[in-house]
Amino acid sequence: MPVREKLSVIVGTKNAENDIGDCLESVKWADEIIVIDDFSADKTIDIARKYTDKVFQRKMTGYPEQMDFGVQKSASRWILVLDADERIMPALEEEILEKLSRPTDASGYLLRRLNLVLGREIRHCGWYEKNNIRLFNKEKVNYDLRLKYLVRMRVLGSLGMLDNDLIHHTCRDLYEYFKRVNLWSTLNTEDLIERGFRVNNLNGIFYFFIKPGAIFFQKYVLKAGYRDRFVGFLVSLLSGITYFLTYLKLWRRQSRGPQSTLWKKSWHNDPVMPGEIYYIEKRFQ
Amino acid sequence: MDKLSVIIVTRNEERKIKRCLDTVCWADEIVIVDQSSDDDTVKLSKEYTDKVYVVDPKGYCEPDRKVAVSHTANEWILYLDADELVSPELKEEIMRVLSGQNKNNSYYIPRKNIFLDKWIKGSGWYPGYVLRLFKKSYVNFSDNIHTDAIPITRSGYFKNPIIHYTCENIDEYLYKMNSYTSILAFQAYKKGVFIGSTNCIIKLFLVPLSRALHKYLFQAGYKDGFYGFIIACFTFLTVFMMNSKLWEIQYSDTFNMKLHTR
Repeated sequence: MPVREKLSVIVGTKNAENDIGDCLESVKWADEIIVIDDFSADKTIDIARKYTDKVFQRKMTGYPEQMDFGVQKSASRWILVLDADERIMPALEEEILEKLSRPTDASGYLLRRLNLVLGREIRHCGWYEKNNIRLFNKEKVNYDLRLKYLVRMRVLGSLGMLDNDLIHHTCRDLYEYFKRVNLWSTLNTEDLIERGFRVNNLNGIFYFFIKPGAIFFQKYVLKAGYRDRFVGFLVSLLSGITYFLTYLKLWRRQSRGPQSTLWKKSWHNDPVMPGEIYYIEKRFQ
Repeated sequence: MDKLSVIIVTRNEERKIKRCLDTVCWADEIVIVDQSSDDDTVKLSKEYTDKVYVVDPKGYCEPDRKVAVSHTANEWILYLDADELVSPELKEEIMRVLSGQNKNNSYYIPRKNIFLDKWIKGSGWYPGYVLRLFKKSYVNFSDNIHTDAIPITRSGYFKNPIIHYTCENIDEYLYKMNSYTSILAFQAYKKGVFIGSTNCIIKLFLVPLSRALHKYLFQAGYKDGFYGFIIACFTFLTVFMMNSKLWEIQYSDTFNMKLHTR
């Protein structure tokens, strides 16, 4: 029987004390766990140290760079990349171990994320598709470091498929969801600026009026978001709104010049539960 | 001539507080109630006044107006926010009131709202009178978010505006909007507003849309060009967010709520 390939798990965190414990618990079986932390203000690091010695702190300069840093620190050839709000269920664990224990041509595996929004599963809206490479051979797959926040990977060779889902707790309540919409649109803006994209009076009509509506139509109707009931409607609508906000922020940045202190801004930096509001906490699970 | 106390309620305003205090340092007394800021707000405020009091954060500043007023020594009060400032013309007008030329006990002051870089004249944002100058024994205070003090007697109107910087960029505006809508949704929930399957299309789509159109068409949002359009869109978003959060409170699977402060 051939020897199983060793696996390194890389987890990127920031202010994730509520999530990191459960996340690392679900990947305890891996040969090596590496946590890359972007200087959390809470107990994230202390919790992570209980599971692994390899906890590194690194300033976030871009998501791909952060993960590439982890890849360089890893000892084994096969890498599994996770966020703090993602969980590996036992079925996926078995499948991964099985894939690693037999010889393969694949240089990486595509998998599907099952997003949980307000405790409900999103199985449509274009969010439930096999388009994530999370398990890969680091000699054949690497990150495109030119992009700052979106993820694009260069792959040599072919890709396999994983059949079981990765659980992703996208957000537990709407406060968190709108906060993410704010963050996602800012990150999209950063990448559009990186690519030299500009909005003007002419293409503005398309990007402000037509594209958000088209995105909503695509997610809700073409990708059958209506089958996820009300949460599907929310997800589709907020996707459209995210695009609208992206181009709005881009327009604003164009007229004001660069403000590159994105990660210092307090309205993105604080943990998911700020004390500034009367926060309504619920447990959905 | 009567003496004036300026009261300000702050939380994490280190980038704005100096700009505000520079324009009111002529007042006889400045009282600052700080809701446990994490930044240098208190330190910066102490350069201007000794009367800085720290209280627990509440998410919005209205409940602490009473606290601030209770620490003041003078009868006349000017209530300001950290993102507002007093122009020299407004100062003159306030001085005239203090010297006894007007007989009213409370005054509404117009507000010049600056959104991003632009003074917004449409969308119902101007003049947007707020009751900010008053004798403290002639008003009642409400604890609700975004409410004015309530005058007991007849009040006068000012001509010169307070200048109000609503936001510097869109991220900040959305961040504030997200916090406020959580509070508003919770208040609506306590009042008993209900969103069910019968009225969800009305509450979640038609009401936001009609509010946005009302702002853009009937309150002349179009006068401000693209900025008016942004405000109309944000109006839609605010009402939608508020009502969807209300829906969330009602339909959470396990009905386990608590008020959360740090």
